[in-house]
Amino acid sequence: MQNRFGFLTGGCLSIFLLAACGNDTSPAALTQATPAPAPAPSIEKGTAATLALLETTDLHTNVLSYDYFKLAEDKSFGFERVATLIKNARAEFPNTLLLDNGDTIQGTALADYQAQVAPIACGTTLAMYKVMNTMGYDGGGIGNHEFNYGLPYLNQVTGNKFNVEGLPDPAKQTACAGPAFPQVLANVLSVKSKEPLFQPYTILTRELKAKTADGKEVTAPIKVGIIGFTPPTILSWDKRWLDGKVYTAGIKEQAEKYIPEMRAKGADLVVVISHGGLDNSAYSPTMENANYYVSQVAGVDAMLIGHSHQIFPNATSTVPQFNLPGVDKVNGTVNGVPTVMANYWGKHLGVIKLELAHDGKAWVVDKAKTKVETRSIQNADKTYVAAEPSIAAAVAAEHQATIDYVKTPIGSTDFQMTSYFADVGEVGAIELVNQAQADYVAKYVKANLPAYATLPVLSVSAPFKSGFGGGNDYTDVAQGNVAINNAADLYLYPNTIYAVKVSGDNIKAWLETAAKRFNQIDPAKTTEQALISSFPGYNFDMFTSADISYEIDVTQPVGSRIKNLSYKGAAIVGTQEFIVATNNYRASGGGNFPGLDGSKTILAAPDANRDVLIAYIKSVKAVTRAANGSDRSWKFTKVPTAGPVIFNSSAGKLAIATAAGLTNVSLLRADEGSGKNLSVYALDLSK
Amino acid sequence: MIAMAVTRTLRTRPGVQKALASAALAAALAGVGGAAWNNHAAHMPDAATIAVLAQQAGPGRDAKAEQVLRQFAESSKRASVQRELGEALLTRNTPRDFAEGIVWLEKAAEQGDADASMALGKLRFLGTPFLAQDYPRAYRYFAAAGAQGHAGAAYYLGLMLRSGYGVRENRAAAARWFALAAEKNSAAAMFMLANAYREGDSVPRDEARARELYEEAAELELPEAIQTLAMAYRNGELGLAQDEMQARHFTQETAHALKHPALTP
Repeated sequence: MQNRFGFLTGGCLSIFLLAACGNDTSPAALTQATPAPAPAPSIEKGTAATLALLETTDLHTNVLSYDYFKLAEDKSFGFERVATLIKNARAEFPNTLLLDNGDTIQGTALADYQAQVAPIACGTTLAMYKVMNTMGYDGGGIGNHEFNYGLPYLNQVTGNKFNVEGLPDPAKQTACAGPAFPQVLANVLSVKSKEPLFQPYTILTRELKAKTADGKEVTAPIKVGIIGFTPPTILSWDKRWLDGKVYTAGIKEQAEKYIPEMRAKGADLVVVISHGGLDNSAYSPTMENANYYVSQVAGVDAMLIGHSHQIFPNATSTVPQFNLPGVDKVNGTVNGVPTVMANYWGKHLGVIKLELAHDGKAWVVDKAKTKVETRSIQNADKTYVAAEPSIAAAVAAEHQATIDYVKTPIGSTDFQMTSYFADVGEVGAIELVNQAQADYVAKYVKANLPAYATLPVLSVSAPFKSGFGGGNDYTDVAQGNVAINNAADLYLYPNTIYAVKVSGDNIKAWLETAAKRFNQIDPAKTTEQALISSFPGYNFDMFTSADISYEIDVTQPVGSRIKNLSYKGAAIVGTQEFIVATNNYRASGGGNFPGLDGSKTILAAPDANRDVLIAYIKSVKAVTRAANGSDRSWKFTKVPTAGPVIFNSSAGKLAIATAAGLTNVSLLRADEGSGKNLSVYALDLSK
Repeated sequence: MIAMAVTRTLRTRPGVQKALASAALAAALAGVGGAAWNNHAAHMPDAATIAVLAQQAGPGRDAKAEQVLRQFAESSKRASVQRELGEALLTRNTPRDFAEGIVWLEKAAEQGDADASMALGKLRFLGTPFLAQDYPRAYRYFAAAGAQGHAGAAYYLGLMLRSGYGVRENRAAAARWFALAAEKNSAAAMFMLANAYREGDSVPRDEARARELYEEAAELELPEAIQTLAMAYRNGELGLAQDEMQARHFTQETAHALKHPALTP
């Protein structure tokens, strides 16, 4: 543990010792009839001190430099490395305050594990907060992602007693283990109490290592007020948790209300910890990024910002928010207020160095000497700073538990689930996804959308990995146990599940667009013809269900290829209505599919398609070729061709096509010639 | 920790609750008591104060704030106040509040308030449990707001014209509306326009312009735009060189943005 301030040692870290350094002043504490604090010891005029504000932001529970999807180290991020920068800064500056900007408790498998898989006990401190305690944070703000797991969880892990609907009366709550530093948030209020959910601000009293005008080393007290804000847009983003329970007040208005109060209570400096970026469009109390206006509130000495995953100051930044009038992206000021944004995931540490001088009455910042910078965990030579070893040691058990969870078999499969031949009819890596999506949406509709209860629920998905990167760029889950990390192979992107209500005409147009995957084949041509066009595989949506069937006639031009489209044996009528499960990307216009533009969405679920798939595998336990990997909804329209129709796939996989029942595929050339581990296969369209 | 414990004790004391009540509401209430405000525009609360009251009345479910807002709406007859009250009532999501909210929005729209027309258009375009879908009426509301350059309305006019919802399909006109909305920072419109440029769908095919628009929308945290870039880097599309690191970065950013997407207009 580093010493943060002269003689204030690390004792404050223990919950039990907190009382001994309980020199933080919250708003409510000062309204209590406590004896007036003893007058501050007089500080000699001309006494000078250097104080560095250190910011982390958007850590997202990246405690270690570790990628839980790849199950491998990734040194390009991680709190364990920014911790080294923190230690270095503490060695460099005589006085530091370490503050976190929020988006702290969500974002990795470790976070999900502690929140949802094996929810932590009341007496246990969250791994992220545990290591922040180890580093001796002085305070923190609250980001929007803090609300992602709901209010009861946030209440628990922050050691609070929220006075909100859905939780017992605060008097009946026991505070759980939380961070050993104060958290502040001034613009989220409880509907029940009309008061801020968290304490809006607190005033930290610290002893500065300082020098008198004649060079004598002394300690001198300072009071630093910290106040926190989060984007008001949380009310939309986490509506399911927050609607009717909390609301927001305008960020500027709350700053104007509380900052004078903080000053009146003796704050020498006011530091705003605001989870948000900059936006100079007309001010509104509900705007997401209000800090441009916060900087114009009187009495703000520094702003620690975040949320945008950007670096500020940054002379070369082209992002609009750092190129506004009044924003100095070189020196790091916003309307003259020193401001820092420290990227995300512990990639950077933000530093605002303030040179303070006491004029006999108050501490005054010498603005000309303020220095704002961010420090990267990546060295100039592209290597990364060493990890602070105490961090990994502190979370070894949680880290291992998460890895075990990711590797735990969630079910098994009796066949090799691959996408090598998805372009020509292999459904082994797609049908399970469609089944999981349809199951999820059907259950949702039944429970929540009675008006649509009679509509058929279908599902589409595409082969996201379809060989662009060569023979290894395919989904391939081995026969045997299926684990959580296999789900990322079966569903590559982090999409969320959406459902759209569409007509039969819409479905036909959807499939016509997907069928752009194929070149138009001339049956009379005697030379080789490539089957696959440049239309990406991730847009080759397909149904895989016994209920729906269609043909793709690749001899026809784009837009006229879908034939014999039928549902349960009867031709689909244009006006017939269906619900189709898909993802946010497609439902919101991704791929430019006709009629898919967000307006047909009847369900925009917060759940990831991949998580829906995991849950489905857990429920079926034993995945089989017969039940989960053989329902082909579509076939090529049969036509004899004079010459070969060819396509590339991974080398030496013909047996997989055969096992999938594709009798019309043969190997033409074992080596495609590009050195990418591909073979050339032929498709016999007459079969 | 100690400080928070003290806060909690104090929250239960009514005197403190009163002290912590919003300054804006207090100011607004003072205005009501002050009787003179409706004769002098100077005493009318500014837009931000009205917006704060609307937050309290709507998401905050605050009856007092609703009452104050209603008084302002009734006596001032200002479109912006009528609309704020209407929208606050809509957020409460009950049939009664909804019906009343529509009435206030209509009053504001009749006075030419573009935001109110936009809100009504969206309700009619999507339909709600309380209000049936009605494309022609939606189009009229959007057209009224779009004529004033309203970005959200321009986006919806683009959608309606692109797919011919209740109007004759006109994809070139759709692209023009999307361009207008994109100019005004609508991420959703940037995405639709980018798709059009990528495909050459009623505008000249222009991958560079498409990529610029995807990047702009990604900057505004539109998950679908970020994912488009992730896929493009993975597959070397949109004129980008294949770049596994960038693909991973944008994939991670997609997951991140999906927790707080750019809001649909």
